[in-house]
Amino acid sequence: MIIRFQPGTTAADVQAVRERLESEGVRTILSPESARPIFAAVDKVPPTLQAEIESNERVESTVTPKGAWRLAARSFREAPSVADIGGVRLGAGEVSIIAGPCSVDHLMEEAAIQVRRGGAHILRGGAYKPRTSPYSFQGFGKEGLRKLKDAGEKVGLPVVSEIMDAAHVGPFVEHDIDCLQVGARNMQNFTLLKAIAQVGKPVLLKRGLAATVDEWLYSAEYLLAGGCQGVVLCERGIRTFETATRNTLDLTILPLLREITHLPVVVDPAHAAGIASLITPLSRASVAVGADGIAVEVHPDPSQARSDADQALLEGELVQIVAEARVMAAVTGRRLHAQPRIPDKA
Amino acid sequence: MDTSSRNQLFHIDRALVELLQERARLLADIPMDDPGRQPRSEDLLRRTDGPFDAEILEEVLKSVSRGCGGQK
Repeated sequence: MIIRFQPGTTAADVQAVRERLESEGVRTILSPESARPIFAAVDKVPPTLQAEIESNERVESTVTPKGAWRLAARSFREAPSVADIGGVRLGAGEVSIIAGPCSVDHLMEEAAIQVRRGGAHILRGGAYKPRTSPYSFQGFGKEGLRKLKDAGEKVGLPVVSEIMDAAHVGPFVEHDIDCLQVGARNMQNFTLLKAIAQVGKPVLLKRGLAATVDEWLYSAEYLLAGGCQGVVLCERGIRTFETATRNTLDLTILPLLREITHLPVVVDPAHAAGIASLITPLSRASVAVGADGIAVEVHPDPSQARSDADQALLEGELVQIVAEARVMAAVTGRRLHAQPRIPDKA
Repeated sequence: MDTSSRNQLFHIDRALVELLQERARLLADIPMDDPGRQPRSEDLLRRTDGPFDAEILEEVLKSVSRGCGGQK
């Protein structure tokens, strides 16, 4: 249950309600919302106690979200939440583009330059790669993180990379990776979620291959309950009976997510389509339906890409996606995020 | 005019205004003497064949250019 107070309710009044609930064994978590006090009762509230809480004149309303997730619920916040990824604010009514190679490789710097020139806002690159086959390229690991961060700093873009194992938190912190990505295969790796929630960095949480919206939001709840302040959901296609494309991009859930959660949502059309020519129209559709961002793969020479070469875009295609995102954002009453400034050379 | 047409007009006008603002934002850091700031009027006029009068459209594009430069 979410308890929403009248604006201006004193901290003492709020605390009294929390203590009443906690005296009955119901744990509570306060929302970071500043416009009005809101808190979540994470355990089941007995009907008689709920009636008592609702009769409190300072309580404006109580809301029981559809799922058992609480901190991810739309009613837990007054406005949509914002994830600040190295100065790029996802969820603040602006559209951002995440781009870069699927795997960090020897062309990382060139890729970063193209991503910058192409108009994107955040640089991506995989250093630890979850591959279906154990014989496929597994990523450069810690060295890959260093290459990614160096490339990002050179072009003035924050970086995001996938973390596969709680044991890798150290290298991600050491290299100051601006956003940790949890891949589709790890969406329900709760040990990993609990570990990275405490890192103090935003997390890009991809939807599992066969995860329902409920399951996805439970995973987000793990991160929020663990203290993560910047959770971003990433729709990347789900497995269906359709075999014409790699996965089915589920854009249906975007307007639904707007109604049930305050979290920003990014769409990765590349992993859904698996075919480069489909990515531009799917990106356009994603912004039109309300995505806060688009994540695409860009490589200076896809024939040399160490993974997902078939869905890697060239710089010109990225330019097209950014231009269309700008137009679609404007016609839907939003705007494209300004590109971060390139830092002055020391 | 019926309500539906009025609503559609309002949405189109709103999109036009938002796009013009976005164009101005994009140009904010580009030097005033950069020739790339100007609309590619010839290209645009050649590619459109709608009912909007071509001469007026050309004037609109000139106004857009002035407005994006912050000129009256």
